[in-house]
Amino acid sequence: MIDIETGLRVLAGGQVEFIVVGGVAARAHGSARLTNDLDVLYRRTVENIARVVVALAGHSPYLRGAPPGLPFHWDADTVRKGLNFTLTTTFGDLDLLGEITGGGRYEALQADSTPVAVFGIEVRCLNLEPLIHVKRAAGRPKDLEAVAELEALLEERDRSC
Amino acid sequence: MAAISPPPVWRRARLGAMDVDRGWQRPFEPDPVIEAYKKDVDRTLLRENLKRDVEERLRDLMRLQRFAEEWRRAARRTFG
Repeated sequence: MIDIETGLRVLAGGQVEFIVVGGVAARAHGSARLTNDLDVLYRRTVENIARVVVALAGHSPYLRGAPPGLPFHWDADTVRKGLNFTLTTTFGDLDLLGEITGGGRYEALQADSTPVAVFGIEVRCLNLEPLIHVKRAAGRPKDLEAVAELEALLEERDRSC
Repeated sequence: MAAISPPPVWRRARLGAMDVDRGWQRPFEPDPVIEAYKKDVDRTLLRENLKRDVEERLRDLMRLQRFAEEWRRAARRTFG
């Protein structure tokens, strides 16, 4: 489970450059599906990695599913050496993604995301069409049902315009 | 000669000097599995969601998560 509001506030409050992708982005577009984690695509610059590290430091980030007690140090070096992190935090499960299948990195998708005002802050959310594209590209069986809903959503949105 | 297709509804992402086709122009290539799933999508729910703003949609998700979590806890208490 994820406290979306807190997660977004922590990242936005830390001036982290990120784009909301995945199930929460789908939900923001109007999906009715339940999701239990927050997926964000973060910018892999030295400055932004430093901001991510500082922003999450007080929220006990740890590798999800890993046994307790591993020598996992949440610092810039760890984030630099890795790319995609599935984390547990005090506010819930956070997928911190440096790159996504079918979409690439932050810079490639920034122009295809839109700033959204929510909970009194502004966060970038991946647009619906690219969201469908990356879910299709992921090619996971569980995503096909989600893609069907997103494509139906796109049709409904167009119809209502 | 056939007319050149208009620019895609979805602009191509520019990466430096390279014009990269991101492939998310509509319409998406029909996929029989996706089309089959689409028949079961509850569109009334989607239409209702489209009437809400983003914050309402996310708050609704958080309520649903809390409900699902409570339901899981109850199931664990009851069935072990």
